[in-house]
Amino acid sequence: MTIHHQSATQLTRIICAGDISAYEVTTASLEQIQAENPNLNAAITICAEKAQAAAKRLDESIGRGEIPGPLAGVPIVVKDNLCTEGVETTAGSHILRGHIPPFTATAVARLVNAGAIIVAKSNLDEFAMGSSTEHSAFGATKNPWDHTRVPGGSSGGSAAAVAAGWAPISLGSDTGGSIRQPASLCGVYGLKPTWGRVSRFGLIAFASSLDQVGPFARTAQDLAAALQVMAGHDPHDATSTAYATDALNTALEKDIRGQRIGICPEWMSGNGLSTGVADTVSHAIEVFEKMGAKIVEVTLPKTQEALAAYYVLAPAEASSNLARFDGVRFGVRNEANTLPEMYKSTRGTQFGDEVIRRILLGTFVLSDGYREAYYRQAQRVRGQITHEFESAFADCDLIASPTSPVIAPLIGAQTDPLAMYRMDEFTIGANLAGLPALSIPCGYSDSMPVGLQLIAPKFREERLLSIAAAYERHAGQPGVAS
Amino acid sequence: MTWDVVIGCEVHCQLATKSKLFCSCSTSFGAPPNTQVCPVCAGYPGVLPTLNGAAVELAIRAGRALGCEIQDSSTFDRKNYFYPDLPKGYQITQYNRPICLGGSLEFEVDGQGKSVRLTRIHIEEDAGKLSHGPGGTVVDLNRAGTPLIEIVSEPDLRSADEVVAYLKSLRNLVRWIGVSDGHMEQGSFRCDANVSIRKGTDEPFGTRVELKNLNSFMHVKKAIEYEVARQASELDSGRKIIQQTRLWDDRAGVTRAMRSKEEAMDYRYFPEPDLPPLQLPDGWDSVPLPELPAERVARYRDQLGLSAYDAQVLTAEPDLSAYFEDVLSTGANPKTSANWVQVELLGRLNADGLSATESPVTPDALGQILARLADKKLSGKLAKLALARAYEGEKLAAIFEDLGEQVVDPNAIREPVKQLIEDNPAQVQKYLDGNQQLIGWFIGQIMKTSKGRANPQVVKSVLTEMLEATRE
Amino acid sequence: MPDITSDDVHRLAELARLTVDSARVETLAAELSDITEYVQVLRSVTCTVTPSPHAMSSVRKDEVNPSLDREELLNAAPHSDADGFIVPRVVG
Repeated sequence: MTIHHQSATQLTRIICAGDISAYEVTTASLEQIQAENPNLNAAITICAEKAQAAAKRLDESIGRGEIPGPLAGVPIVVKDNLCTEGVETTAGSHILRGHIPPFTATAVARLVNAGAIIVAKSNLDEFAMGSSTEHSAFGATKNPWDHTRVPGGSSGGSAAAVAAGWAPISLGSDTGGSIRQPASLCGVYGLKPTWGRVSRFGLIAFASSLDQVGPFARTAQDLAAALQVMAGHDPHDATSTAYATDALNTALEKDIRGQRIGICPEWMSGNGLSTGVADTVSHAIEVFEKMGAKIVEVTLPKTQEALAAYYVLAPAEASSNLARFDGVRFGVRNEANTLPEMYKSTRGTQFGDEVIRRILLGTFVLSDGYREAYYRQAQRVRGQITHEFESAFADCDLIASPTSPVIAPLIGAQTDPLAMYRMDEFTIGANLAGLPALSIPCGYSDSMPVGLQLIAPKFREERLLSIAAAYERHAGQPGVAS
Repeated sequence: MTWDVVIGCEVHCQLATKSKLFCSCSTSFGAPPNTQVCPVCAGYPGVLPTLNGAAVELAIRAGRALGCEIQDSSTFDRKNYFYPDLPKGYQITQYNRPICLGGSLEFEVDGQGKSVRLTRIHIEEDAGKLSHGPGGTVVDLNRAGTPLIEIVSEPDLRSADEVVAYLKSLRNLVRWIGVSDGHMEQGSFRCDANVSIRKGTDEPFGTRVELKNLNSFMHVKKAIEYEVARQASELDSGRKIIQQTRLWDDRAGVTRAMRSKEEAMDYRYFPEPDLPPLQLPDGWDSVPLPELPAERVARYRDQLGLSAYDAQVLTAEPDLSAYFEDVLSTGANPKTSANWVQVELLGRLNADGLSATESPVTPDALGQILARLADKKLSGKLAKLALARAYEGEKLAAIFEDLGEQVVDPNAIREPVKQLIEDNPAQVQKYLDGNQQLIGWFIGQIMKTSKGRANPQVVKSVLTEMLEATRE
Repeated sequence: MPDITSDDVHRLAELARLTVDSARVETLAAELSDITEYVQVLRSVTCTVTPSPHAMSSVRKDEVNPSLDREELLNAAPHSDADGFIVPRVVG
C-alpha cells in the first residue's frame, strides 16, 4: 500500500529495474487518494482512468526496452490552475466548472514527457488568491497533520497531497508565497524558482509578473529532479529563459561549508511572528552554522513595504488577467437580456468573494486619478526592493528567514482579509524581486510543521538545494503526515 | 465667418504578416468565421502572447520610410475594457513607449507640397468582428490578434482634401514598401480623424471630435466636410462643441454621436507583464529601403525629364509604378513610355477594373512595341494597333508578323504612287489647280494599299515630288 | 487619501463588470479602505533606482500553425451557433 511513499527517484529506479510496475505504483497512489480525499479534500479531480492508462502505456514501453524518462512512473499531483489537456481545469472557481483545456501547461507536459503520471488535480484558493485553501469553490482542504487546520495556500491541495504521501511530487504556483507557505504549514519542501526559470504557459494567471510554477517534494533530490525537468525556455512563454541547469545536478552533494547565510534581525522577530516558529527556525539556522555555513547579518527590505507593494501590484494584474472570464468563449455564463447584465451577473456570481475583492482593489489602483499614487508608486517600490535584495547578496550567498510567521491556523479562524494577507510577509519579497526561494521543513511547533525559507540570487536555485540536501543529511527526510 | 480647420489622423494599418501578432493563426482574409482562432487569440485561461518578429520588422520599415526615430527599446501595455470582440478583456498595444516616434510625410495637394508631422507609430493587435442579428450578436474572432500599426499624425491637416491626399499618399507608401496591402474595403487600412475648428490660425485649438467609420476616401471627405459645417453651425449659433466620438452614417450623410457611455472610458493602462521590453533586433537597419515614392518622383522629374504631373501619376500606386519601371528597363524612352502607359494602357486597365499587375500586356511586350516604334518599324498608328491587339490577348510575335515592318524606303513607294496618279487624273488636276488639301486623300489611298505599312512622312514627300513632276 | 465609499465600490464594480451583492457593498468598502489605508506606507518610500526589466525580448517566426477545430472552439462556449459565439445583442 505504501510503495508509492518512496521518493520519486527511488520509484523510477525500481520501476525501470522491473521490480514493480508503474501501474502498481499508480494504483497504490490512486487508492490512497480515493480513500482519503473525501476527508482531506485536497483533490478537485482524481484522474484514475487516465493515470492507469498512462501507467500501462509506460509499462509496455519499458517492456519493449524503450528508455524511460527520469521520472518514469512517478505519480504527481497538479494544482488545478495548471491546464491539462482533456482534464477539467477549474482554478478552484465556479466560473471554470466544466472547462476542459485543449492544451497542457508546459511545466506539466515536461514532467509527463519525463514519465510522470498525473493522478490528481489539486484544490486551491480560487485563482490562487489566498493563503489557506479555504477560498475554493470546491470547499476547504484540510491539513494532513491536523484536520482542524488549514494546509496553507493557495497551493494547499498540492502541499497536502505530498505531505499525506499521495505522491512524491506535486506542482503548485507561487505569486506571493503560494508554494512556500503551504509547504511550510504541511511540512514538505516547496520551491518557487526564479521568475522566468519555468514556463508559465498553461498556468492560469493570477499576477503574471509575480507568478511562478514550482514543485513540492519530501526530498531535496526529488525537488531538484522536478526542477531540472521543468526548467528552460519555452517558445510559448516570451518571459521564460534558457538559463543553464547544470549546477542543479551537483548541488545535492555540495558541501555547504563557507556558504554565507544572511539573516535580517527584523525578519526574525516582531509583529506576527510566533515564538514557536521563531525558535524552530533559529535552531535550524544554528544547525547550518554547525555544518560550516557562515551566518551574516544583512539588511533586507521592510516587510510592510513589500506587502504593501504586493497588495497593489498583484490585484492590479489580477483585475486584468481575470477580465477574460466573461462568459463568452468558455466556462460558465449567467444568461441575461443585455450584454452588460450578462457580464455583470456572470462575473458577480461565479467569482468568489476574495476574487471579487481583489478585482475591485486592482481596478481601483489602476483607475484614472489613482494609478500614479498606487500602481506606479508600487512599481517604483518594487524596483527599490529588488535593488535592496541585490545589495544584500553582496554580503551573503543566501538569505534565511521563517517561511510563515505562524503554524497552520485553524480552519475558519482567518476572517480579516488584511490579517490573512500579512501571513505572506516573508514570502512576498522573493516574488517582487523575481528571486528563487525554498521552504525547508525544519521542525515542529505545537506538533505542527514549521518551514524555514531560503532565498537565493536569480537563477541560483542550486544554492537552495545544496542547503536543503545538507540539512536533510543532518535532520533526515521529512516524513509522511500521520 | 470662415473657420480654420484643424485635423489630425489616426490610421490603423494591417501589417502584411502571414500569422497573427501573438499567435500562429493565419491572417488571411475571407476565411469562414472562427476558423483562424486558437487558445491564444481566443484568450483562453493560461495562454501567453509571443511576439511575431515579422510584425516588428514591418513596423520598423514603416517608421524608417516615414523618417521616424526608431526606438532601441519599446514596451507593450494592456488597454483594459470589456467588449465581446476583445477576448482577453484587454488589448495589447504600445502606450507608453511606442516603437517609432516623430517622422513626417510629404505629399502634394492640388500641385502644392504639404508636410504632415507624425506623432508616433505603435504596434497593436486588432479585435474580432461582431455581426448583429435578431437572435443576438455573433462574435467572429478570425481577425482578433491581427497585427496592426497605428500611425498617429499631429493636427497638421487643414481640410478634407488635405486629409484625403494625406491618406492616399500614406496608403501608397505602406503598400509600396510591403508593410500592408492597404485594402480599405477589407479593413486593412482604416482612418479615424480628429476634427476641430477655430477662428484664426493664431487661436488655440478648439474642442475636437473624433470621427470613426470612415471606410473609403469618399467617406473621409464627406464626413469631414459635414463635421466642419456642423461644428461651424454650432459655434455660429453660440453653442459649444462637446468632445465626443462621432460615427459617419454614409446613408444619411451625417455624423452621429456614439451612444453615450454610462461610464467614461477608463482603460487602466499598465505594462504588459507577459512580454518583456522589445529590444531592436540586430541589423534592423541593415536592409536598405527601396526607392520611396517621393524619391522616385524626383528622379523621374530631374533625371528622366518627365513632367511633375506624369511623375506623380506614375508613382501614385505601387503596381503601376513597378509596371512603368519594368517598361523603362526594356530600354524604352522614358517620355514615350510615360505617355503610352498613361494614355494607351491606363485607360484600358481602368475601364476593365484591372491593376497594372493584371495587365494583359506585360511591361516587356509594351517595351517591344515601343522599340519597334522607335526603330520606325511600326508607325504610331500601327504601334497603337499592336497594343490594342496584344491587350485582347493576341501573341506579340503573330501581331508583328501580321503587321510587318513599316516601309520607309521612298523607292518602294514610287510604284504605287505612280499607279495612283495614273488612275486618278481628275484628282491630280484638282491638286495641280491649287487644292493642296487633296494631298491628304492621296496619302490615305497609299496607306490603304500598303495596309498602313508605308511611313506617312515618306509617302507625303514621294507624293509631293511625283505630283509636282506631272506639271510638266 | 480618501476612504473607499460605497459609491466607489459601485463605480469599480461597473468598471470591472461584476455585480456586487448590495448587502456586501458596505463591508467591501470598509475592507478595501483598510487595504488602501495599509498600502499608504508606499508613499513614504524613497525610490532611488529605476526598475529594470526581468528578461529580454524574444520574437517568434512568422509561421502559420493550424488553428483550433471550429466545432471544438464553439462547443466550449456557453452559447454559440455553427458560425460563432453568441452574446446578447449589442446595439450599434
